[in-house]
Amino acid sequence: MTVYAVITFHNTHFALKAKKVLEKNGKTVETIPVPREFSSECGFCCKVPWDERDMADKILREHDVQVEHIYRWERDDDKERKNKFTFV
Amino acid sequence: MAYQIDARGLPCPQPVLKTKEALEQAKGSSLVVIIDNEASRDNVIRFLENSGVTVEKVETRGNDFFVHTKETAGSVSSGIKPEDHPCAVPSGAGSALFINKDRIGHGSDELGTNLMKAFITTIKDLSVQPKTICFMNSGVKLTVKEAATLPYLKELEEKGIEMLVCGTCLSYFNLKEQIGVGKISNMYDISETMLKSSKVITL
Repeated sequence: MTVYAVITFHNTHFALKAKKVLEKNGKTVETIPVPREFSSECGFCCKVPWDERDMADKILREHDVQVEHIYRWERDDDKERKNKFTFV
Repeated sequence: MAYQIDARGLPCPQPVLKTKEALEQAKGSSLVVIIDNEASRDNVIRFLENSGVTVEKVETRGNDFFVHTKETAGSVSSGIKPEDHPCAVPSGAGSALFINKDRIGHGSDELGTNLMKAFITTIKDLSVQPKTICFMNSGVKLTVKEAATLPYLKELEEKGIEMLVCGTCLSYFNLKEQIGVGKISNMYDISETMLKSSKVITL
């Protein structure tokens, strides 16, 4: 099982800016569509390794990127793709 | 003496239409309908049964099916129309995605690039999936090493989705050596695949 932190934002601009800022700071980050469990609206969020969430949050704050929520995403690597989200 | 109809090689719904015609001409004698595919066999059997004709047996000889009926009731006047027997999509046909650029839509390249990546990462988790994905023009850039989309396309390929990547386009962008997923294909294969697909979705 892999654990990620999924960071959501108030709009797409923040999500895309977050990706650039985190990449520039050497973080492993991926933009993914906001999972249906969180919002039915179209949007991007950032996925980072769970252990890097605090550092990512700090970097984003320093760059004026407003974070909406951070979720814990547990993803089973089997074919079933059992995901579990917890709001933290 | 059975009235025989050879409906082999005929596209759906022709076998049903021929059977209907034969029923009218058979004047009460039994029928033998020869068909070469399962979808038509099922359609013909259903049509016969709905028309009040008893199917006695279905013989399989090689790739052909011989549908034998009991004696028909003379003039068969049923309200069943061949249109009621929809042509099934030939088994094996599926949908195809035609990706002809490396981003989705116009307006913002940054947004379009992210949307394309999000699209590909999303379809790999869905229960409905295309049978084939065809890449052309700058769409081929999604399939090369270093492309952010490559790992997700590889996952899709492992699931059995066929990827046809335009060789001309790879060559144009000087990326032939860089291809990381799918098979280098040509206009014949790509156009034929699209025409054979039940539907083609262009991105």
